[in-house]
Amino acid sequence: MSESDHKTDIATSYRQSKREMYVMICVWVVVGLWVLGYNSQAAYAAENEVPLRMLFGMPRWVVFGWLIPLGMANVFTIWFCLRFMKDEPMEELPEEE
Amino acid sequence: MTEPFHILASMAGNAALISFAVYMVFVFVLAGLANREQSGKSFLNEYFLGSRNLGMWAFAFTYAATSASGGSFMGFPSLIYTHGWVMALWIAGYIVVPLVAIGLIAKRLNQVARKSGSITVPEVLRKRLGSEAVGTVATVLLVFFQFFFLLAQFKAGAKIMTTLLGDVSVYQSAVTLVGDLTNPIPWVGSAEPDYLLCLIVFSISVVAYTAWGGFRAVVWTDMMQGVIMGLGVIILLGLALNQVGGIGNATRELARQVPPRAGSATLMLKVEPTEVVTLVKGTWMELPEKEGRQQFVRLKDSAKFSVGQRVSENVSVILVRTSVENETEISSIRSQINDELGVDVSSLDVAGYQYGDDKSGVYISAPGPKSNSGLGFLPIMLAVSFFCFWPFAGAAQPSYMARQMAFKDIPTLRHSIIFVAVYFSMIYFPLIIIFTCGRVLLPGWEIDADRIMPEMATFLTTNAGVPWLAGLLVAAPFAAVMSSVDSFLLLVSGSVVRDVYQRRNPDASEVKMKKVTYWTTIGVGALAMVAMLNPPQFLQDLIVFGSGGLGASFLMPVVLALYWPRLTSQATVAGMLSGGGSMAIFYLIGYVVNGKFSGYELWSLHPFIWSVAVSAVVMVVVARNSPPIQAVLVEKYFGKTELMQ
Repeated sequence: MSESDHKTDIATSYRQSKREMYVMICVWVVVGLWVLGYNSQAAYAAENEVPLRMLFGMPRWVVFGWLIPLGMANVFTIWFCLRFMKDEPMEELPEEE
Repeated sequence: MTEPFHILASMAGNAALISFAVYMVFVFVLAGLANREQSGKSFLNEYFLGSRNLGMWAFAFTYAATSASGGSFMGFPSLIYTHGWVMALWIAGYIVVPLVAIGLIAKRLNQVARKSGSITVPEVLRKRLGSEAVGTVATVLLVFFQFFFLLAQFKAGAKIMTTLLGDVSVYQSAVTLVGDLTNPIPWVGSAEPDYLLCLIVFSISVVAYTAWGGFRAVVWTDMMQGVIMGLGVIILLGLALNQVGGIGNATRELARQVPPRAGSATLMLKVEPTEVVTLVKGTWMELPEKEGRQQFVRLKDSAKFSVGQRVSENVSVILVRTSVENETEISSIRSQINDELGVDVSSLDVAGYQYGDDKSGVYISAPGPKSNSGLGFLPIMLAVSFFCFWPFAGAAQPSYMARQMAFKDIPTLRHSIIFVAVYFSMIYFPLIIIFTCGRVLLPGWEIDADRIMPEMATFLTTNAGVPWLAGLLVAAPFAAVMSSVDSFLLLVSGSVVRDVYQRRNPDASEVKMKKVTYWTTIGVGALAMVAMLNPPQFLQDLIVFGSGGLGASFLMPVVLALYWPRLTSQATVAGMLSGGGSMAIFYLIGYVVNGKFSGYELWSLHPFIWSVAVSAVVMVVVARNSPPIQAVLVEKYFGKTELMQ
């Protein structure tokens, strides 16, 4: 591989890593808006619920504000890792100093 | 407690000793095998990074096991038990931890570390920025903050061992012997002999296998420990749900619970004692029903009656007031009451929680009960803080970064993120269910909530007629602590050897480096052990200070070093110092305002958030106003010098 090809590879790899980082930050923001937005209402109002609203034996807010986002995030993680994240050639190790 | 329970608990104790012994044999076998792997390879690269060829299972398990430290299996259960379902919101950031904390920097960090031939985090920063000052500041901050972690884990390991082996007769004899030997020694003699014995055994074991086998031993034992943790949680979940009568029943009883009140009472024996009578900590007494709630008093400390003395005043107690509809909870408490005690309770002087007192539903909602704050356990802004804290403080922990520098290729990384996402889901969600069930099955453990994990393990297995299983279950938190201690130990010694000793002695032979490495690992471990002989009271706050300090010092400098070509060495030094310094200032303000060592939460936001924000702003401002770094470095790590514009 020529020197210029090698530099192009580094630049391409850097840009791809940056794209992946932006996607991860976006996912974090979306999950945050969902979990904190929904629970800021549902979880904080639950102590006054009579009768207690339950789903699958848990408080309802836990299912909609935690369990479902968790499942969705895991599904996205699987898609992201298998489809979006790109493989890069790993650099051979230089000799130790 | 009844006699049969003692016998079963003793069986559990013996089983725990056997489980522990078998477990330690496995750990040392793995360390020996790892030591053999070192031959023929570059010593430092193998000892500190396992020659950077970790496969999927090794990388995923070592990351997960190091992350799930003693806190996950001791502190977290204690918080769930004390505050209820709100802990799901507290830990909600973990929903994205595998993706963000690993994915954010792992790929770039691994590439930059390989390209620069770096073994430690300070070395990556030093070479990326081409500055000795960056490496020196990073080393000092890393060793300083990481050492707090190490100390805390040593204490946690020793504490778990004392619980694990509490009923074993051989152990009790050894404790007596240690007590006799150390009692006359100043300072050392003031430590509890059982804690002292366990601390010494724990320290020697973990330091020996870490020094012997290095990073590879740590990774292999992490794999074994990860399996134990996963199995332990799944078994506990099954037993808890079965014994509580299903999760629906647990949630309904929890919804009717109110927080206990704490204070003091006067105890009076019905019959004048003819010998010394001691009511042990945890003793229950039933009071008459009041306002639809069945009342029970539980001792927070033991109460002693001398011969002829019927009254004991100012005994520390909690008052548990549970709904008469909570059949499981009431029957659990009544099964622990000794009807032959003959004690009357009077002069009850108790105070309720500042948030949640007498409030049904407080354990199944946010912000959750809190004894010393009228805002509750988790006001919404604090929930926002923790949602930021877990993924980003996680990403910035050097112990995780060391692992991210060690995987062999990108497919390993991709599959590991998926594995960790599934593994964390299978650990943290069940833990919340288990310990909310714990509030119903084992009420009244507010007297010592940190013990709820081993107590639940013993209770559930004993009730299920399989007390020997407690050994495996209690081994789970022990494994979690060990997997964190070995990693932190290696990280601190790695920084000292690579970033300090080798920088000053670049021509040191491999034999010399080996000797220095072994002795540094042993020295750091010995220092931590000595420091923990008499652990300080405010240790938990020091842990939070340590983890937050690492996060604040390294998050922005590392992220920007990897993704921002314009970053300069001056900005990196300023970012590390301002991040770590801000944490220190927030703790100083907290000390002045709260009267104890704790972080000041401006607008209910965790100091970590403010410190990272300060670090980010400082770095951008300094980078814009300092000379650019050498173009050759940008070309080396980013490919194109135009990116500097």
